[in-house]
Amino acid sequence: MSLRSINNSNETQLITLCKQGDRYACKQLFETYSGKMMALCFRFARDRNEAEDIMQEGFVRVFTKLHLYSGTGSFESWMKRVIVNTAIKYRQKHIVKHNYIELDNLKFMDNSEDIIDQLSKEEILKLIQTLPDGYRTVFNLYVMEGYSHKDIGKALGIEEGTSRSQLAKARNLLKKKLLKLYKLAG
Amino acid sequence: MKRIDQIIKNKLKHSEMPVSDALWSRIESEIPLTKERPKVWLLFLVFAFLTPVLYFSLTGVSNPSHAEASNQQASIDLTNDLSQKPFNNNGINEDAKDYNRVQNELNSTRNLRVNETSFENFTKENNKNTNRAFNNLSSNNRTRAFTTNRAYKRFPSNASIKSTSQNENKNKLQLIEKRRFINPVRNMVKLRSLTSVTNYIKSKKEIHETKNKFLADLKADVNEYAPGCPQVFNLLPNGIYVYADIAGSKSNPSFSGSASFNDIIEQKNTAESSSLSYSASFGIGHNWDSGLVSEIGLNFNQLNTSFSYNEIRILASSMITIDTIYNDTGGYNITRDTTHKTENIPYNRTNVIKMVDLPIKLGYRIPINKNLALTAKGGLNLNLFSTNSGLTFGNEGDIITYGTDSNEEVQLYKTNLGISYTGEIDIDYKIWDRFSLYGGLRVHHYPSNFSLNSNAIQLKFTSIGANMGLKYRL
Repeated sequence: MSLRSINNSNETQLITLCKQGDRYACKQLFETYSGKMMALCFRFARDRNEAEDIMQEGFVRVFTKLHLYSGTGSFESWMKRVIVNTAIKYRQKHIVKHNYIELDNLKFMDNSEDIIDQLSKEEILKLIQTLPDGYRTVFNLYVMEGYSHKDIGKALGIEEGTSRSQLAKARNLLKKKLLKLYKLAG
Repeated sequence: MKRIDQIIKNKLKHSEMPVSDALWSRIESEIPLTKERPKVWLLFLVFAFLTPVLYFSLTGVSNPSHAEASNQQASIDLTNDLSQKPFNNNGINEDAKDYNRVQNELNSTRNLRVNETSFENFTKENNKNTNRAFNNLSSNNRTRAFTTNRAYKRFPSNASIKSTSQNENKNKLQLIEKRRFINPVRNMVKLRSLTSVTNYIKSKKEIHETKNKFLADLKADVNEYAPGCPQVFNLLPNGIYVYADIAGSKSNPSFSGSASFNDIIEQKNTAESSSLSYSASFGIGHNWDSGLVSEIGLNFNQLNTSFSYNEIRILASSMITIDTIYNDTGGYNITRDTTHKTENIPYNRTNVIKMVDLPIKLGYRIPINKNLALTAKGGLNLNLFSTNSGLTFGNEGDIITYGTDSNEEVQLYKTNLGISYTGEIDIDYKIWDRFSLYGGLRVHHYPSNFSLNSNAIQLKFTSIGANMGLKYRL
């Protein structure tokens, strides 16, 4: 459940109370943002269980580092950054070697965007989850979180060029999967 | 960003997903427990309230002139009651252990009698100039003038604005003046009672500062109310110091005793001569405000005398002569010719007498400038015990050892108890803060010792030497 109607002054009060150790205030904050953060974690995770692990770790970090939130900028953005960093660290800790085959950069039909448009959010999320870990992380950071390749390189400890190539490969793979879905559906 | 990216982003930007119910419990269990921090502002308020309360209850320092001013409200309505406690308002903590003693001392100030003649002279002198000035003020300004302590002191001739009777004014004026005379003594009592306050003052620095404050107030009172003011002395010791010094001296020992020791005494008097002696002292002293100095301590003295004698060594040589002619019996004659030679071999030995004394000295200190002072002291040395060792001539002219050097522990002197006299003149030089260096001349005269055993030699000596030491003012 999420409380959609919390305004800024209420949120500030909740944050203050949470900093003082008020558990109820912390729970309120969690319930406000859990849905969005869960969707974020799901994008980085391979499955729901992993998404919940990232979410758990992320929120624990949010509440223990809450004193570092100075009040400037939106709380949601700050929380998102913490959870994204948690997801990246989680990914780095749980590296699973994929024996994937490099796909050729095939030419696709131009209607991949139309296909995506027809898909629901959950289907798109699941599609993203099928990507290999590295591609999925780079894709999420670049497309969803707006990181630059330079920032991605810093966060993941990879070269900027590697980030670019992984993004391109992530896109290609997504398109292939979309086409496959389309063909299967069709 | 490519179009596919944009589409995906738009689709997923505001997406939410449900979370399981157990997730919050798992998160909550990992959040560390934080105690509710005490409201800092509340602590600050408590501290701000307690600080002045503690300060005034512990120090109890008050400026007597301000205390006077605060007691004199807008209308001056004096009573003939000298029992007003000087310790109200900023007074001493009434829980002081010797509160009763303080009270008794305070009560005794009620009975102080001022020299009437000097008091009258004082008031006449004061009244000459102040009355004229006061009378020139308007009535409003007179009131205002009276409400301040300064005005009160400057215009003593009109004790009360309310009163119109001249006699009543005069009586009240006399009362005020008498109280002003009493004031220094009240400060003196405050100084005495400082010992009770010091039970509640934690640091030596604070005691020192509080004492100095009291003294400054007292001295200000004395300066202001002189010449008719009764003499007050600083009854609290603020010139206590500890000292340690070493000295070197030369002495002229002389020996005396019962007739049975005459030979030994004569030999010692001729054979023993003065040698460099040493002493080391430490103790505690006090510089009084009046200039008096008193000291008590311990003194370790080593009196050395040089004992010289010649040892006669007899050397013998023999010459054997063997005749080469046969004697009557058919043998050779053997003659032996022995000659003797004597030799004087000088010996020197330091005879030692070690004494432990308790010096009690009184003196006078004359400050020369801020850092220099001249001190002259004299007093008694109570000889606590002593040991001696050395050589001397026996009755038959032989050399005997005595004292601690002797296997038989022959005691030559019996000096368990004795009194000697000491005097010294020192120059004190303050080298740093509480430290001062001193040096000077010291004279020590040991007239005799109380001999419990008549079978002993008496020693007299006078030593003159130089000493040097260090003082630390507490």
